Amino acid sequence: MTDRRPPHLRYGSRTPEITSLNSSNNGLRASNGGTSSLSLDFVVKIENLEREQASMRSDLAVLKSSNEALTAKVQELLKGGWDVTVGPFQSQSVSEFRSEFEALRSEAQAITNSSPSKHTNGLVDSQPDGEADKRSALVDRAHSLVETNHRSAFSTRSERSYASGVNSPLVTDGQVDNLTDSIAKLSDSESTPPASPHSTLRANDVTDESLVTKTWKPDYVNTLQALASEKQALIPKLEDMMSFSHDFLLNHLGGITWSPGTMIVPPDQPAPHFLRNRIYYLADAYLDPHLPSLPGEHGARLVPFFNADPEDEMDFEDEFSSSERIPMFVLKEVPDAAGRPRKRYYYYGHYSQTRWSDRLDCDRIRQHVPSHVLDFWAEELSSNGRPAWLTDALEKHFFPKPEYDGQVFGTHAEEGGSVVSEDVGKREEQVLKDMKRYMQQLKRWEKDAKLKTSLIKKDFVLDAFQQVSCPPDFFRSPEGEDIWLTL
Amino acid sequence: MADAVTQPDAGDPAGLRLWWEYLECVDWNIDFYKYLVHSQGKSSAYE
Repeated sequence: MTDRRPPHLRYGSRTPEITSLNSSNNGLRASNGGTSSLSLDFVVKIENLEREQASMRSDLAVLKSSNEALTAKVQELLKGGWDVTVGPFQSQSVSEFRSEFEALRSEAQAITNSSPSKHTNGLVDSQPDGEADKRSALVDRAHSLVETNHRSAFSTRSERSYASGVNSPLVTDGQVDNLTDSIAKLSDSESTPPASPHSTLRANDVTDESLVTKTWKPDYVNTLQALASEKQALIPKLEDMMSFSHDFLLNHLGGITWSPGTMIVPPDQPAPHFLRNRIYYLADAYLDPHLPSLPGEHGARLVPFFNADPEDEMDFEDEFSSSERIPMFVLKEVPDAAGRPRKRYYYYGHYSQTRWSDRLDCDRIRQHVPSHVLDFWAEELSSNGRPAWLTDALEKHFFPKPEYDGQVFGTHAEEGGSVVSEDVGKREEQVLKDMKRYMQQLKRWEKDAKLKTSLIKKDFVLDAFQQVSCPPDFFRSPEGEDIWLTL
Repeated sequence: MADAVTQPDAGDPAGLRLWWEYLECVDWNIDFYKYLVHSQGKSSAYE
């Protein structure tokens, strides 16, 4: 009893009323020393204990809430949702906070466990020496830890905004602010502890949704509704899915290549079982970066030129559609049973073209089409074995037909037009002259365009992918020769 | 004019560009899949 240090040494200025009560009480005991003073002494001590208990509890609440806030943060970092190349927590050491807090938590736990026993037996002697010191030291550490976190949150935030600019769409703003807010609350709780530790930071405050990074897809693909869940439930995982060999698909489904990746079974051949529509897609995940990432998902194929609609060229049954419910097989590289990599086709689903195609601009091509894909198309388009329709499409694209800008027949003034009667004959003469000149021009153009198209080299196509507008390079071969024949 | 930016591109011959042919998944036909798996399984040539 007597070896206990007076409360004011343990609490400092926090409980001045206890100090004054105690000292007056001591004086009372020195002068009287009677039974009544002893019981009074006892009552005062019980009162002190109760105050101590209450103060301890509020300190514990502070500890709990700061512990919770930091644990949540640490867990979030451990989830690995952060891209470490940029982000508000790049410079922070997670393990440091974590080990610090593990220690803090176990110490807090120890105090929580010892508190109830003191309360129930109410014996002053049962309280171990230095417990209060330990506790106040713990509180100090918690505060300094919170402050450290506060500072680093601020410093990394300013670093980040300096590095990435104001308009950067970083997804972490809300969370950093949440943390800052909760820390501010924690600092306030030094004088007024929260009613419940849960009032500072709830698990719901931290959402992971915004952190999920998805593969880039064209905007339209992102707007599409997901495939019905009852359909999705049927799709095996890709690793459990059976794959098909190229030979099997060609032998079994057959057909001719209508345009790259589009296979059509002509009307003069029997329609394969389960392929009433006579059309299917073969796509290569390596060469088509925006294909659906998994079976059942949406995507897009890259196409340089479109062939004519098969409906216009062949006599199909009425229900034929070249844009609806077309099964697609995607070529992917997966290891075989022996672990050797091999390429096989996977059935991704039946697909419909629900929007007319959009053209990629120069920036999109640069940002979202890998160079090996451009290289592939340059090779394909410049190949000698390319189909005639593709040659025509290239010719039309690179060497367009000259326009007719000569005289046209006018309308008589009597019929509401602007040509007066005496000019009609003169005008017709001019039209015939201009038309003749244009026909000669067309004849020359056809010869030249055919020749130039046949001379298209891979590098020429590759260059064309990079061009912003019709380039002067068009007039030169890669070797610098003049391949443009004057009209 | 505001609508124009959301409309499909109308091309003019300038440089060479690729197009997106959009593919919306409308079905995953389990009977079609099972039929092909069964057919391929009949020959060991396609392993």
